[in-house]
Amino acid sequence: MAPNFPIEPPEDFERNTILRAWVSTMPQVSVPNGFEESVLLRVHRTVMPLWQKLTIAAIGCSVILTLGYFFLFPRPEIVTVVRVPELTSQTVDLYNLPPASVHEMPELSGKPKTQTVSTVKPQKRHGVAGY
Amino acid sequence: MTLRSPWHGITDEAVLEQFLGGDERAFVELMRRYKQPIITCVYRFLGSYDDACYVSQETFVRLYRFAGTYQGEVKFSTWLYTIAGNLARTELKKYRRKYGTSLQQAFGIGEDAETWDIPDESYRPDEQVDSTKITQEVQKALMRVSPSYREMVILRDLQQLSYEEISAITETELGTVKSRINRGRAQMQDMLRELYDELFGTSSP
Repeated sequence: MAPNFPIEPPEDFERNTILRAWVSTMPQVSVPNGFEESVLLRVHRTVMPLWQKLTIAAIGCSVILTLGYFFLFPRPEIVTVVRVPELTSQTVDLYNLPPASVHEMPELSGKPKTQTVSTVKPQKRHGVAGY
Repeated sequence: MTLRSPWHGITDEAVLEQFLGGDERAFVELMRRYKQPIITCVYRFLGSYDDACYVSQETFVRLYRFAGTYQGEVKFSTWLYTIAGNLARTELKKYRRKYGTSLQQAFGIGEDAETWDIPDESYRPDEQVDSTKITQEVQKALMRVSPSYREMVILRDLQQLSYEEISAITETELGTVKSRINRGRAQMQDMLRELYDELFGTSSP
């Protein structure tokens, strides 16, 4: 049943109606050519097959596990041995030479044994107490 | 005689089901059904044709990848608009981060005031899309309305969606949806005063 008193429309009734009409009749935006093709291209570029995902996951896990192992169980310090070149005769400490070895020569076994003595002449120690 | 599409009369949800069953043609059909409304909606929101194309394409890429997550609680179209809306909002945020800041960020004001951020004044109408003076002015006014109002005005007045659908798409309370639409329209009326004066005469209220 209709009311018997006039119902006033809101103040902005006309403006609002026009606005809604304008917005609702705004033109549709044209879709660019090749829209669907480029979506499909992007889809197939971004969607990886399962085996690729699994491979990447496996590599990632192994890297994380390796790094984690080295982080949790650090290896002891490695001692590096550096080979020093053998001392030459110039740097030999003449005061502390080891006694020369005595070799027995089989070709001279019949003859009386001679003692092989080192040719290095011992020198006096200068500035050492007791000499 | 016109050939009818094999998908004629099949609901979106049924087409989606066929796509989930492995039929790629079903995906193309969904794209054909929604590319036009999605690109229009996104363009009206962002105001840039190139960005609208990018966001629309991304929407369908997401559909392809995450179609399996559709639960059927809302209509398929509502779900698709939600994806497009989220992407468009993200795009707008990126743009704003690059070129400007909002009052909310500047003053740290509450969530309720999020709609009072600085409107985008840099919009220039795309004359290829909007050829008449009225559509150019309306689009210009839309771009100056706060984004959260704009989104709802577009969904309601351009896409003709129900308040309930808009509420689901924007994840906003029904009452808030209605008030934002009204505020958005009021802001647009202020901006379109010159156009109204031409139409109603200067003595109009």
